[in-house]
Amino acid sequence: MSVQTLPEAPSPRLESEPATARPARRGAGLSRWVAERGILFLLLLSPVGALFLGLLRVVPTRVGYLAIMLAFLATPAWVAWRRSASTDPTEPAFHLHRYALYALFPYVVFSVVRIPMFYLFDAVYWAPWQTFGFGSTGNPVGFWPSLIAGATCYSLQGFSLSMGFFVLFKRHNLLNALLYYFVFISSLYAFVFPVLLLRGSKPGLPFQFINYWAHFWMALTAVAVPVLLRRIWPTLRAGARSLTVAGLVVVWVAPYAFAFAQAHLWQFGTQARLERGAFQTVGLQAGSTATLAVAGDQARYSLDLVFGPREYVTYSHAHKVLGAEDVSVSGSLLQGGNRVALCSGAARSLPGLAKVRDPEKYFPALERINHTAIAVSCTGSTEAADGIDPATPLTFEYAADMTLTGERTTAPHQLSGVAETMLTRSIGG
Amino acid sequence: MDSNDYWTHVGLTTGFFVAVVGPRLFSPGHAANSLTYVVGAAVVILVATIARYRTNAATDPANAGLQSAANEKP
Repeated sequence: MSVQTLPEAPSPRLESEPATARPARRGAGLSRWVAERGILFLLLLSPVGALFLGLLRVVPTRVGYLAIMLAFLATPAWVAWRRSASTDPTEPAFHLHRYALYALFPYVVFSVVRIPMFYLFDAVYWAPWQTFGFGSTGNPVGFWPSLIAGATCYSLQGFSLSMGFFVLFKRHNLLNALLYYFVFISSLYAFVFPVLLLRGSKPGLPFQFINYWAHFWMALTAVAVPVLLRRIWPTLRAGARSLTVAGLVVVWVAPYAFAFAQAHLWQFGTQARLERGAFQTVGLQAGSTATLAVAGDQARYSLDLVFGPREYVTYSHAHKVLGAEDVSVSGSLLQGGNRVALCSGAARSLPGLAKVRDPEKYFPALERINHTAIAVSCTGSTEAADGIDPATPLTFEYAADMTLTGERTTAPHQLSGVAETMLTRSIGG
Repeated sequence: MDSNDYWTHVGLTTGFFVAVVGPRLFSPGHAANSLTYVVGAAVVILVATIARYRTNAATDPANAGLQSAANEKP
């Protein structure tokens, strides 16, 4: 299948032209390309540019999206100027309305063909939408606001990439479409998503297969839509046209309807169940040693409680950590049934992974905080401390109140336990 | 392949390499992803070059003369 939606541009070979004139001609050709296609491409690519500005840490992600607003203002002005200044009827500025119509479909088909992959590989194709939504609005992943905002960002990005194809290339044929979507964008996607975007995920072969699979169909769609709308559409009768429009509407709505229905019917409930399961798994373990310091008539014991494991896996197969807020610990140190100190500890919140933006650093950081120490301080009298037998372990009874937080769920939680701990070091006592 | 389209392919692959991929090329844990981009970009440039060469050969006046001579053979 090969479609040439624009006439073949003449490419005269100036054999008699002196060699010194060629660099000047190349420079003029580049200037012309920048004016006709380059600047328009950059303006139309602003949703992708905004994403890259954030991913490359040039500016905060939400500031990056301001680029879309600037491009939104600048594009009509630029197009209007090019239409008045240009004498080339093949210049994209004259065909934007058609290109905008064509570009509505490739990125939608990109997601339509990922619906079967959801069943084959359990690949949640709308999970990156929620990441985009979080990046652009700050709304937490796993809720409607981030999903809707993310779907909008995804649509803008997909539309702009499709517009890029129609604006950049003169020939909208299968070879150019395959090289642009199937080879170039797939290869870029295969690099950018794991290296810059997918925090907490381990994309493997299914991710790469789906990447190339979906971009392949995107290429076919980019070639097929102009054929349908320019060649086939004029030959259709009224009934066939109605059916065609209905079919295009179904194709266009399908990936959004599927994602929103899955999110509403399954994802949010499943995610909440996963988090409640993680809440039941997490525990508090006392450290094996305690340190004693005597100051005046007070004996102070320092020890740690370790909270974990905090790691859990979300519906979208992302590895995350449970949060804990307003942690309040109370307890006692005992020996031989006698209380030697009263204990307390508190933490407003435990460290999280929100600030780890580099996927490469994500899993090492998760490993570090999967078990998080909470400092506990116990206070008793020096008389009681003097009576401690260092060879006999102390009994540490503890209870903790906290609020556990997952992606969707927040719940009060209590943990308690009894552990034996050795007094290994004594300072001034 | 049209000259504009050829240079667009070359410009896109090299431009994104310089701006995005190159600074992170073969960063720890991402050798396979880096290789995927490099191979993809190489395929784009190679295929585009072949297509451009074939177009040039087909539109070259000398080749066109040979072609028309061949067509005129009984």
